[in-house]
Amino acid sequence: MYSCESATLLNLIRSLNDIHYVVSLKSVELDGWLQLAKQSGLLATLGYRLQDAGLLSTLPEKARRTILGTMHFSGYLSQMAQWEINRLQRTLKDVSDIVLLKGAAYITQQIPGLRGRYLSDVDILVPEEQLNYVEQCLLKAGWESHKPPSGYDDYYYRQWMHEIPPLRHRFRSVDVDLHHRILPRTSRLNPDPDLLLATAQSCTISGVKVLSAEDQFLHSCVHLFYDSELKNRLRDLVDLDVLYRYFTEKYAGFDQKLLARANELGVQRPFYYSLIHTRSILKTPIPDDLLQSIQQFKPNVLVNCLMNKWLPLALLPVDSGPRLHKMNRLLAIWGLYIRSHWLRMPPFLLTKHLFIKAWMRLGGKV
Amino acid sequence: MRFSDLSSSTIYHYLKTQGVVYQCGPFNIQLKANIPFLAEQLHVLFAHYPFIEHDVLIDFRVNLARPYSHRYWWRPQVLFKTAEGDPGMAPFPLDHALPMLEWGTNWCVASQSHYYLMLHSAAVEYQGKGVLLPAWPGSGKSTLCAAFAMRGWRMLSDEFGLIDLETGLIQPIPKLIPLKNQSIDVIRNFAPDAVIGPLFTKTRKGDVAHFRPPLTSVAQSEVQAKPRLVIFPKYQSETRFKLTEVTKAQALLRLANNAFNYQIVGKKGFHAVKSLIDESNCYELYFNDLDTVVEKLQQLIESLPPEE
Repeated sequence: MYSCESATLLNLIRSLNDIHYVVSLKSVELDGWLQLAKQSGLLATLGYRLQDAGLLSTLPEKARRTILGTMHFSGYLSQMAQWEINRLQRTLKDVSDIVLLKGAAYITQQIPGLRGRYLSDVDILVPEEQLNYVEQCLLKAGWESHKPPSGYDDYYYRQWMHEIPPLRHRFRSVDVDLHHRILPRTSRLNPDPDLLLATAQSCTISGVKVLSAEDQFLHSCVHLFYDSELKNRLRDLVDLDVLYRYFTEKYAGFDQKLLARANELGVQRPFYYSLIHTRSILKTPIPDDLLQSIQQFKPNVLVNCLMNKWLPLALLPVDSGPRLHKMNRLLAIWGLYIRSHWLRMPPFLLTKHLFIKAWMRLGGKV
Repeated sequence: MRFSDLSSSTIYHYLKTQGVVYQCGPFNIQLKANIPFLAEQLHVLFAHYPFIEHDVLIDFRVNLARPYSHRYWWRPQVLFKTAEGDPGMAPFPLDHALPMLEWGTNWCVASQSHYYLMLHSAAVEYQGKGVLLPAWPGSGKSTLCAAFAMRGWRMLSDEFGLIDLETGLIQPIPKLIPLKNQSIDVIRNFAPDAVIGPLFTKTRKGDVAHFRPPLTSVAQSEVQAKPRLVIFPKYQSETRFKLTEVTKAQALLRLANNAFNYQIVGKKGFHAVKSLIDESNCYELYFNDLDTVVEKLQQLIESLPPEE
């Protein structure tokens, strides 16, 4: 289904599958590989995989140094995020359990293949009825909002989004995104946050929870295939690949639970795209019977055909190919950008929102 | 091959096609730019840098691009673009392409070289003994660095004191030294044979002209230097020369505070600073006369015991 024209991209994808492959790359190939891995935000992750396999020191000195540099940086980001989680847990100890989402949750669970994943914010989920109270507690403890409280952006977040405007502690550099659901209120899909909260599981830190294994995977599906513009998001596909491999090994019957949960939360379509594309691009070991069962979630022929064509083009990192390829890629990126907004809110609301933003920009208020 | 072996027109040809690849210290930089006068400036100022033709690993891919808008013709501008990320630099007037290149590559180094502890410091070497000159902008470290280079010291860096986290040694990165405002004439008078590029007026740091590091410094840029002295310099118009010792504890804190990426490299950074301070004598320097500084510091370094 997916044919890869670029040798560099193929090298990157192969190395994601088998880290030993990096050692066989010659000077020019290695240079291209480093550049593409860096651009996709995957170099530090691959660095840890190389280190774990004892291969880092076999690379040319220059490559080793570049990789170590990105590993140092990702180590710093991870440490900052862990400190932020610690501060949140302490501040909200008597208020509410915090449910960590995405990157913050992966760090806390120390999922091996995702070590080195960049993250710049900590996402947490709280029950909507506690939202105001939690926000007040954080504001009292020194967190601040970037958006002026009576401005349009603040209104926009609170009225339509799945999170309130990002908060950041005045002495620190990590944003905290406080969620009350995982997709905007206006979005066509809307998985019930109470279902997610009800099955959240405790982790190594007291007072801190993560979503159940199925929900973590499905949230990642929704995040990539429903709530993003899909441009240059290979890293998110890698998340899905690693999570799938990790959870299937850890929990027996993961596939069946996943299928049931996707139905329960009503996120069948993004779930379908995730399995199809991780398997075709990253060779994620998704069994045939699971693939068979998700055929019912397939979109109509036209959409399916378009998505199959566009997705890899936009999702995979920028790479200079022949002119026609570049044109196609621009078209795909543009198409998926429109799609992401279409899914996010109804057309009337979107028009109104874009109009207000444009007006503000003209007035120099952005 | 070095840039001095090529003609301006050859350099320009590379700049506008596949780009020139040059080596500055530990970094290989690929530069593309369709700007003819930049080729002439590079021919002079980059003269000693290795011009690389074979396949190497590239650290930074820089493109000095011209905007496809009315600003291509009308009061033309230039943009700094790199494959490694967006430094968020506002466009410069086209004739300021060189200062933009230098500041832009500083951003590349500062944001992506966490294999090193990066001190905001000049670094030089005399008789095989490395000297770090950490200071905030405006203290005169660039001027000092150029002055030492013109008196036969090895110039290691004017801005980035790169400390190799594995060896604990200073990694040279002999970038062009941007002399600012009065410093330009100070160095011209101090060393009339110094090679200094064209004057760029009204940049964000005032008037700037670039000093070319000597060939001997560039040729040895693969050789790391052992730090022996840490000197916190400060230009002070009323003080000819004053050197006072700083306690090691204080020097450690000052050095840690002065690093670009101390928090990022974490524990390794602490150990690097600690062993650096352990092995160095630390001083504070007030000065207003370059000849005196050079003379006195040469005496100081000659008096240091040799490495055991």
